[in-house]
Amino acid sequence: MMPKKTGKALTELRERTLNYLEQIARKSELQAFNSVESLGKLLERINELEKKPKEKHGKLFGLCFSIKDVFAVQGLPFQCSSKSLDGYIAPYSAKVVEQILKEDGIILGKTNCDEFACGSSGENSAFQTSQNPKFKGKTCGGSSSGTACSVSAELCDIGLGSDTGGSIRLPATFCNIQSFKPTHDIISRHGLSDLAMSLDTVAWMEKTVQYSETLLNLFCEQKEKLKEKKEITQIGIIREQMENLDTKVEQKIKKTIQTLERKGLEVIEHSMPLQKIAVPAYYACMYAEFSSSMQKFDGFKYGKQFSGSDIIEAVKVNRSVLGKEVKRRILLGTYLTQKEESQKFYKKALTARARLQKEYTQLFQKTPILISSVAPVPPFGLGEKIADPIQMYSADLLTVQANLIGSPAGSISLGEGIGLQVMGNQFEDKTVLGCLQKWENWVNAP
Amino acid sequence: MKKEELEKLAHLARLELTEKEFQEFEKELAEILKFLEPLNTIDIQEERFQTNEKQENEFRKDCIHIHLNSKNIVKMFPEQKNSLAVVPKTFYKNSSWEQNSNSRRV
Repeated sequence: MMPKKTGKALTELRERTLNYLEQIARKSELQAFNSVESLGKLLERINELEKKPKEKHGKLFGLCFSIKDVFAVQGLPFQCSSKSLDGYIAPYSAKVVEQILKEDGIILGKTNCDEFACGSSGENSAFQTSQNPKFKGKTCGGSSSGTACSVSAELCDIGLGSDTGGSIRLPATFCNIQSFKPTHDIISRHGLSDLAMSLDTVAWMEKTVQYSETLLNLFCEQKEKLKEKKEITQIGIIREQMENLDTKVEQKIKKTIQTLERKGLEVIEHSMPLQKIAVPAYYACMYAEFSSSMQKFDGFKYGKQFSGSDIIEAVKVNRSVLGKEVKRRILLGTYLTQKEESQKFYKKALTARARLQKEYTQLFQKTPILISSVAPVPPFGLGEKIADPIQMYSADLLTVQANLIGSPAGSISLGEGIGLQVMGNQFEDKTVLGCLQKWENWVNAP
Repeated sequence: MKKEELEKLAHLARLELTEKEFQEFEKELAEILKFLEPLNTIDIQEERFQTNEKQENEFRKDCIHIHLNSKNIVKMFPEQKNSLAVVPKTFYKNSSWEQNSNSRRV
């Protein structure tokens, strides 16, 4: 049962939290969590919250959170699903985690993900592969696989994750839940292990769009920049984004567009040939930034220290335990940022990004909201794409754009692991959220 | 991608690759670079991506707060000496990385 926003009976708080804990243990075969808070600590937290008078309850009172293993939560393992950080306990909490705790939220544990958030299926975790609770034998999507799994399987109320190229929207879609990624840079990334800083955004998932507005207001550090919610009468679709969709996905998206039209929205079709360079531009930028950000994992500061008599040896030994996708991305990032190669790919990717931003800004002036499918395909099978990185990268075909231009985007589940993506211009977060809330019921009405 | 090129990259990235990894990455990296080829249709211009409408520094409030407890931090290191963490050697008296490589610094 979903909790009420306020006024929960104190016994209900205890019952609900412990019920989640029991469900996490009972559904351990889903492999959603890398670590779970101890019963003792949770009881301490419940006692602390139960003592609070009702008028002092925080905005997230009693809500149970699962946190992607790329955020620091003081006292819990902070491993980014990587053997290189095996056993590392966070000595502090991420800014957003502090805010959750300050507003009386409860942290249940850290959820599984692709190693250092590198992946689109969750299969790159060094520890386990989260199982899709809605579609047996299919991936949860990535990189926030365990987070989506935990929300979808009702092991928590809200899942906190990060979105660099679709890492929240894709798994939420594959697990039939809702998600929201705010404008880039309006939420502190302090305590979030970075994949690519110019793309990383704190984001979250929930079963219905219930607490997103509260979370946005709570986390946003540039409230004065957020624009007021607009009433939407026109929405845009980009022709090129409707091409190359799986038949089932295409049918579902077209049906959803018809539903929105029946509700009185005018749908306007645009063309943007530049779409074809979005995924290459995203990967070039991400490889470059990732290879740079991974330099801090040198075997000195975090996790188990491996043997090594000097810095060179320590770095190499520590990095030898990294997974294949992480090594692949570090190598590619190193290649792209070499002086002799940077003109060829990286600088072109930056130019492509600027152009995409310019073209999207022009489109948003015509139609403030753009919609598309979240993924070109429905959930794919475990092991189906893992051996082919390019096939895997193609799952991000429609999500990377929002990260490249730093705009807000959310997803509404349409069932069967298919989702509708809703995207707005930078700082139009409230309008995007308004659409998600309003359309959630429209698009899923029988 | 040639093996020598990959060896150079692995050295720059401080990655030690197995023979199997070299073989796999030689093929995969070449395929991925081909996948990035559409970027070559772009002319580099002076346009610059702006992550935020107005680029401004956002400073945290200058207020007193509890800092990380150094004792707890040091405890997390596998090797400690006199309340300090023991880490592999970083600086050397001379430029040779090889000399005195068995000793560790506190």
